[in-house]
Amino acid sequence: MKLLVFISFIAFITLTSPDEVSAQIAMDNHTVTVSVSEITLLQVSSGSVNLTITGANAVAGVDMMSTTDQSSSLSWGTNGSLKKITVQSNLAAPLFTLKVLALNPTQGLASPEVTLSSAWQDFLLNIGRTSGSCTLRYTGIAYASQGMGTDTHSITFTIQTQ
Amino acid sequence: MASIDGRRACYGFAVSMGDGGSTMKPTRNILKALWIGSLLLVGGTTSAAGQGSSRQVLTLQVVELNKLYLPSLWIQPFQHSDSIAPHQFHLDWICNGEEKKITVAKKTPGGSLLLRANVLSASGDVVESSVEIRVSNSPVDLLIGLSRSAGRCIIQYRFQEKEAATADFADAILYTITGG
Repeated sequence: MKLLVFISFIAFITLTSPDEVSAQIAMDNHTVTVSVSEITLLQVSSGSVNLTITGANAVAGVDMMSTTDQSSSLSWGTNGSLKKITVQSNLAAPLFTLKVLALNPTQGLASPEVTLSSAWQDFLLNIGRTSGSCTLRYTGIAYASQGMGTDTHSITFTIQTQ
Repeated sequence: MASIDGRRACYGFAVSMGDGGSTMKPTRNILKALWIGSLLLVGGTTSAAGQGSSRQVLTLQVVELNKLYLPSLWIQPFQHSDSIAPHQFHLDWICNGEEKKITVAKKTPGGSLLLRANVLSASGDVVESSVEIRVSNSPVDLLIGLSRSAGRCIIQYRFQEKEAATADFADAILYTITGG
Protein backbone atom coordinates (compact mmCIF):
# COMPACT_ATOMS: atom_id res chain seq x y z
CA MET A 1 0.00 0.00 0.00
CA LYS A 2 2.84 2.39 0.82
CA LEU A 3 4.44 1.52 -2.48
CA LEU A 4 1.24 2.29 -4.39
CA VAL A 5 0.95 5.67 -2.68
CA PHE A 6 4.59 6.49 -3.53
CA ILE A 7 4.19 5.65 -7.22
CA SER A 8 1.01 7.71 -7.43
CA PHE A 9 2.84 10.66 -5.91
CA ILE A 10 5.68 10.46 -8.43
CA ALA A 11 3.24 10.22 -11.31
CA PHE A 12 1.35 13.25 -10.08
CA ILE A 13 4.52 15.34 -9.82
CA THR A 14 5.61 14.35 -13.30
CA LEU A 15 2.33 15.17 -14.99
CA THR A 16 1.73 18.46 -13.22
CA SER A 17 5.21 20.05 -13.63
CA PRO A 18 5.96 20.22 -17.40
CA ASP A 19 7.98 23.46 -17.09
CA GLU A 20 10.46 21.88 -14.82
CA VAL A 21 10.92 18.98 -17.22
CA SER A 22 11.32 21.17 -20.30
CA ALA A 23 13.84 23.35 -18.55
CA GLN A 24 16.33 20.60 -19.06
CA ILE A 25 16.05 20.81 -23.01
CA ALA A 26 17.69 23.88 -24.67
CA MET A 27 15.46 25.57 -27.24
CA ASP A 28 15.97 28.75 -29.28
CA ASN A 29 14.97 30.19 -32.62
CA HIS A 30 16.19 32.77 -35.11
CA THR A 31 15.12 34.42 -38.36
CA VAL A 32 16.87 33.58 -41.61
CA THR A 33 16.33 35.99 -44.49
CA VAL A 34 17.40 34.88 -47.93
CA SER A 35 17.50 37.68 -50.46
CA VAL A 36 18.07 36.92 -54.14
CA SER A 37 18.50 39.99 -56.26
CA GLU A 38 18.05 40.05 -60.01
CA ILE A 39 20.70 38.01 -61.77
CA THR A 40 21.74 38.49 -65.36
CA LEU A 41 24.73 36.53 -66.53
CA LEU A 42 25.94 36.36 -70.10
CA GLN A 43 29.08 34.94 -71.63
CA VAL A 44 30.48 34.13 -75.07
CA SER A 45 32.59 31.01 -75.42
CA SER A 46 35.37 32.71 -77.35
CA GLY A 47 36.75 36.20 -77.15
CA SER A 48 37.53 36.40 -80.87
CA VAL A 49 36.27 35.07 -84.18
CA ASN A 50 37.86 35.43 -87.59
CA LEU A 51 35.98 35.34 -90.87
CA THR A 52 37.77 35.51 -94.21
CA ILE A 53 36.24 35.72 -97.65
CA THR A 54 38.49 34.15 -100.26
CA GLY A 55 38.15 32.78 -103.74
CA ALA A 56 36.63 29.66 -102.23
CA ASN A 57 33.60 31.74 -101.26
CA ALA A 58 33.19 33.29 -104.69
CA VAL A 59 31.31 32.16 -107.76
CA ALA A 60 32.37 33.53 -111.13
CA GLY A 61 29.70 35.81 -112.50
CA VAL A 62 28.03 36.38 -109.12
CA ASP A 63 28.79 39.67 -107.39
CA MET A 64 27.96 38.57 -103.85
CA MET A 65 30.33 36.47 -101.76
CA SER A 66 29.69 35.12 -98.29
CA THR A 67 31.21 33.02 -95.57
CA THR A 68 29.90 31.70 -92.24
CA ASP A 69 31.29 30.79 -88.83
CA GLN A 70 29.65 28.72 -86.11
CA SER A 71 32.63 28.19 -83.85
CA SER A 72 31.40 30.14 -80.84
CA SER A 73 28.40 30.04 -78.55
CA LEU A 74 26.56 32.24 -76.09
CA SER A 75 25.52 31.13 -72.60
CA TRP A 76 23.23 33.02 -70.27
CA GLY A 77 21.38 32.82 -67.00
CA THR A 78 18.79 35.10 -65.49
CA ASN A 79 16.16 34.93 -62.79
CA GLY A 80 14.26 37.94 -64.07
CA SER A 81 11.06 37.70 -66.03
CA LEU A 82 10.42 39.15 -69.47
CA LYS A 83 14.04 39.23 -70.50
CA LYS A 84 15.66 39.34 -73.90
CA ILE A 85 19.19 39.36 -75.30
CA THR A 86 20.19 42.20 -77.57
CA VAL A 87 23.25 42.63 -79.75
CA GLN A 88 25.26 45.56 -81.05
CA SER A 89 28.50 46.26 -82.90
CA ASN A 90 30.80 49.17 -82.22
CA LEU A 91 31.25 49.77 -85.97
CA ALA A 92 28.93 52.46 -87.23
CA ALA A 93 30.00 52.16 -90.87
CA PRO A 94 31.53 48.77 -91.65
CA LEU A 95 32.84 48.07 -95.15
CA PHE A 96 31.03 44.76 -95.40
CA THR A 97 27.81 43.24 -94.11
CA LEU A 98 27.92 41.06 -91.01
CA LYS A 99 24.92 39.08 -89.81
CA VAL A 100 24.40 36.98 -86.71
CA LEU A 101 21.79 34.37 -85.83
CA ALA A 102 21.08 32.47 -82.61
CA LEU A 103 21.22 28.89 -83.76
CA ASN A 104 19.41 26.16 -81.80
CA PRO A 105 18.71 28.14 -78.60
CA THR A 106 17.92 25.89 -75.64
CA GLN A 107 15.57 28.58 -74.32
CA GLY A 108 13.82 31.56 -75.83
CA LEU A 109 12.89 32.53 -79.33
CA ALA A 110 15.59 33.48 -81.83
CA SER A 111 15.07 36.65 -83.83
CA PRO A 112 15.48 36.47 -87.59
CA GLU A 113 19.08 36.90 -88.68
CA VAL A 114 20.31 40.28 -87.47
CA THR A 115 22.42 42.58 -89.62
CA LEU A 116 24.84 44.05 -87.12
CA SER A 117 25.04 47.79 -86.67
CA SER A 118 25.79 50.26 -83.91
CA ALA A 119 22.13 50.16 -82.85
CA TRP A 120 20.93 47.62 -80.29
CA GLN A 121 18.84 44.90 -81.91
CA ASP A 122 16.88 41.98 -80.54
CA PHE A 123 18.75 38.70 -80.72
CA LEU A 124 16.80 36.33 -78.47
CA LEU A 125 13.36 36.92 -76.95
CA ASN A 126 11.54 35.43 -73.96
CA ILE A 127 14.50 33.97 -72.13
CA GLY A 128 13.18 34.82 -68.65
CA ARG A 129 14.09 32.83 -65.53
CA THR A 130 16.30 30.31 -67.24
CA SER A 131 19.82 29.48 -68.15
CA GLY A 132 20.50 28.48 -71.69
CA SER A 133 22.82 28.62 -74.62
CA CYS A 134 22.87 28.92 -78.38
CA THR A 135 25.37 28.68 -81.18
CA LEU A 136 26.41 31.98 -82.74
CA ARG A 137 26.24 31.80 -86.50
CA TYR A 138 28.00 34.72 -88.14
CA THR A 139 27.69 35.40 -91.86
CA GLY A 140 29.99 37.84 -93.60
CA ILE A 141 28.84 39.20 -96.95
CA ALA A 142 30.86 41.20 -99.45
CA TYR A 143 30.39 42.26 -103.04
CA ALA A 144 33.13 42.33 -105.64
CA SER A 145 32.34 45.98 -106.16
CA GLN A 146 33.26 46.65 -102.51
CA GLY A 147 36.83 45.58 -103.08
CA MET A 148 39.09 44.28 -100.33
CA GLY A 149 39.47 45.24 -96.70
CA THR A 150 39.01 44.32 -93.07
CA ASP A 151 36.29 45.13 -90.54
CA THR A 152 37.03 44.58 -86.87
CA HIS A 153 33.81 44.47 -84.86
CA SER A 154 33.52 44.55 -81.11
CA ILE A 155 30.19 42.79 -80.64
CA THR A 156 28.32 43.16 -77.37
CA PHE A 157 25.48 40.96 -76.17
CA THR A 158 23.32 42.24 -73.31
CA ILE A 159 20.39 40.94 -71.31
CA GLN A 160 17.63 43.53 -71.16
CA THR A 161 14.03 43.75 -70.07
CA GLN A 162 11.57 43.19 -72.91
CA MET B 1 39.35 35.22 -60.74
CA ALA B 2 38.35 38.85 -61.07
CA SER B 3 35.42 37.96 -63.26
CA ILE B 4 34.34 35.26 -60.82
CA ASP B 5 34.26 37.83 -58.04
CA GLY B 6 32.23 40.05 -60.29
CA ARG B 7 29.64 37.36 -60.76
CA ARG B 8 29.47 36.81 -57.07
CA ALA B 9 28.70 40.46 -56.55
CA CYS B 10 26.11 40.24 -59.26
CA TYR B 11 24.28 37.44 -57.58
CA GLY B 12 23.80 39.58 -54.44
CA PHE B 13 22.98 36.52 -52.39
CA ALA B 14 22.66 37.46 -48.70
CA VAL B 15 21.96 35.41 -45.59
CA SER B 16 21.41 37.21 -42.31
CA MET B 17 21.52 35.14 -39.16
CA GLY B 18 20.80 35.62 -35.52
CA ASP B 19 22.41 33.70 -32.70
CA GLY B 20 23.45 30.14 -33.05
CA GLY B 21 25.60 30.79 -36.12
CA SER B 22 27.59 27.66 -35.53
CA THR B 23 24.50 25.50 -36.03
CA MET B 24 23.96 27.24 -39.42
CA LYS B 25 27.34 26.33 -40.87
CA PRO B 26 26.16 23.22 -42.73
CA THR B 27 23.28 25.14 -44.27
CA ARG B 28 25.54 27.99 -45.27
CA ASN B 29 28.02 25.61 -46.84
CA ILE B 30 25.27 23.94 -48.83
CA LEU B 31 24.02 27.31 -50.07
CA LYS B 32 27.54 28.32 -51.00
CA ALA B 33 28.09 25.08 -52.90
CA LEU B 34 24.81 25.49 -54.76
CA TRP B 35 25.72 29.04 -55.65
CA ILE B 36 29.17 28.12 -56.95
CA GLY B 37 27.67 25.20 -58.84
CA SER B 38 25.20 27.45 -60.59
CA LEU B 39 28.03 29.79 -61.54
CA LEU B 40 29.97 26.96 -63.09
CA LEU B 41 26.87 25.71 -64.89
CA VAL B 42 25.98 29.06 -66.40
CA GLY B 43 29.31 30.73 -66.82
CA GLY B 44 31.74 27.87 -66.91
CA THR B 45 33.24 28.80 -70.26
CA THR B 46 36.16 31.02 -71.00
CA SER B 47 36.61 34.60 -71.98
CA ALA B 48 35.18 37.99 -71.87
CA ALA B 49 33.13 39.96 -69.42
CA GLY B 50 30.53 38.56 -67.04
CA GLN B 51 27.27 39.76 -65.57
CA GLY B 52 24.61 41.04 -67.94
CA SER B 53 26.72 41.59 -71.00
CA SER B 54 29.50 39.90 -72.89
CA ARG B 55 31.74 41.00 -75.71
CA GLN B 56 33.36 39.29 -78.66
CA VAL B 57 35.76 40.69 -81.24
CA LEU B 58 35.02 39.56 -84.78
CA THR B 59 37.32 40.25 -87.70
CA LEU B 60 35.88 40.03 -91.20
CA GLN B 61 38.55 40.10 -93.87
CA VAL B 62 38.04 40.13 -97.62
CA VAL B 63 41.19 39.24 -99.52
CA GLU B 64 41.87 39.80 -103.20
CA LEU B 65 40.18 37.21 -105.34
CA ASN B 66 39.89 36.50 -109.03
CA LYS B 67 37.83 33.71 -110.47
CA LEU B 68 36.80 32.56 -113.93
CA TYR B 69 34.39 29.96 -115.14
CA LEU B 70 34.11 28.56 -118.63
CA PRO B 71 32.82 25.20 -119.81
CA SER B 72 34.66 22.51 -121.67
CA LEU B 73 33.71 22.49 -125.30
CA TRP B 74 33.25 19.76 -127.82
CA ILE B 75 33.32 21.41 -131.20
CA GLN B 76 32.75 20.12 -134.67
CA PRO B 77 33.82 23.14 -136.67
CA PHE B 78 32.64 22.19 -140.13
CA GLN B 79 29.72 19.95 -139.46
CA HIS B 80 27.33 22.06 -141.46
CA SER B 81 27.85 22.69 -145.17
CA ASP B 82 30.64 25.05 -145.97
CA SER B 83 30.24 27.42 -143.09
CA ILE B 84 33.06 28.57 -140.98
CA ALA B 85 30.94 27.80 -137.99
CA PRO B 86 31.07 29.96 -134.91
CA HIS B 87 30.92 28.23 -131.58
CA GLN B 88 30.17 30.21 -128.52
CA PHE B 89 29.97 29.86 -124.78
CA HIS B 90 29.62 32.00 -121.69
CA LEU B 91 32.65 33.19 -119.78
CA ASP B 92 31.94 34.31 -116.19
CA TRP B 93 34.29 36.19 -113.93
CA ILE B 94 34.57 37.88 -110.57
CA CYS B 95 37.39 40.07 -109.30
CA ASN B 96 37.48 42.53 -106.43
CA GLY B 97 40.76 44.21 -107.31
CA GLU B 98 41.41 47.28 -109.39
CA GLU B 99 42.44 47.41 -113.05
CA LYS B 100 42.14 43.80 -114.10
CA LYS B 101 41.97 42.17 -117.51
CA ILE B 102 41.35 38.73 -118.96
CA THR B 103 43.95 37.33 -121.30
CA VAL B 104 43.88 34.26 -123.49
CA ALA B 105 46.62 31.98 -124.73
CA LYS B 106 47.00 28.59 -126.36
CA LYS B 107 49.64 26.57 -124.55
CA THR B 108 49.59 23.38 -126.57
CA PRO B 109 49.95 22.94 -130.32
CA GLY B 110 46.67 21.01 -130.52
CA GLY B 111 45.12 21.20 -133.95
CA SER B 112 46.33 23.23 -136.81
CA LEU B 113 43.13 25.25 -137.16
CA LEU B 114 43.53 28.94 -136.79
CA LEU B 115 41.23 30.08 -134.04
CA ARG B 116 39.80 33.50 -133.44
CA ALA B 117 37.88 34.57 -130.30
CA ASN B 118 35.32 37.34 -130.44
CA VAL B 119 33.89 38.85 -127.28
CA LEU B 120 30.17 39.58 -127.38
CA SER B 121 27.66 41.03 -124.94
CA ALA B 122 30.08 41.78 -122.13
CA SER B 123 28.48 43.15 -118.98
CA GLY B 124 29.48 46.41 -117.38
CA ASP B 125 32.04 48.76 -118.89
CA VAL B 126 34.29 46.01 -120.15
CA VAL B 127 35.96 46.68 -123.48
CA GLU B 128 35.22 43.93 -126.00
CA SER B 129 37.75 42.73 -128.51
CA SER B 130 38.47 40.11 -131.11
CA VAL B 131 41.76 38.27 -130.97
CA GLU B 132 43.53 35.54 -132.83
CA ILE B 133 44.54 32.69 -130.57
CA ARG B 134 47.96 31.33 -131.45
CA VAL B 135 50.33 29.02 -129.66
CA SER B 136 52.43 31.42 -127.71
CA ASN B 137 53.88 32.11 -124.31
CA SER B 138 52.56 35.63 -124.54
CA PRO B 139 48.87 35.82 -123.75
CA VAL B 140 46.83 38.41 -125.59
CA ASP B 141 44.32 40.73 -123.98
CA LEU B 142 40.75 39.61 -124.49
CA LEU B 143 38.82 41.77 -121.99
CA ILE B 144 40.18 44.89 -120.40
CA GLY B 145 38.77 47.36 -117.94
CA LEU B 146 37.63 44.86 -115.34
CA SER B 147 37.56 46.45 -111.93
CA ARG B 148 35.77 45.23 -108.82
CA SER B 149 33.13 43.41 -110.75
CA ALA B 150 31.40 40.18 -111.49
CA GLY B 151 30.22 39.73 -115.03
CA ARG B 152 29.64 37.59 -118.05
CA CYS B 153 30.29 37.71 -121.74
CA ILE B 154 29.94 35.45 -124.73
CA ILE B 155 33.07 34.14 -126.35
CA GLN B 156 32.62 33.16 -129.95
CA TYR B 157 35.23 30.99 -131.64
CA ARG B 158 35.68 31.15 -135.34
CA PHE B 159 37.85 28.72 -137.26
CA GLN B 160 39.63 30.20 -140.18
CA GLU B 161 41.20 27.25 -141.99
CA LYS B 162 38.64 24.78 -143.20
CA GLU B 163 40.95 22.47 -145.05
CA ALA B 164 42.98 21.53 -141.99
CA ALA B 165 40.09 19.86 -140.14
CA THR B 166 40.85 16.23 -140.67
CA ALA B 167 40.90 14.61 -137.23
CA ASP B 168 39.85 15.10 -133.63
CA PHE B 169 42.23 17.04 -131.48
CA ALA B 170 42.24 18.83 -128.12
CA ASP B 171 43.34 22.37 -127.60
CA ALA B 172 44.11 23.75 -124.15
CA ILE B 173 43.21 27.41 -124.19
CA LEU B 174 44.07 29.31 -121.07
CA TYR B 175 42.09 32.27 -119.81
CA THR B 176 43.62 34.34 -117.00
CA ILE B 177 42.58 37.30 -114.88
CA THR B 178 45.59 39.43 -114.30
CA GLY B 179 46.58 42.96 -113.40
CA GLY B 180 45.77 45.37 -116.18
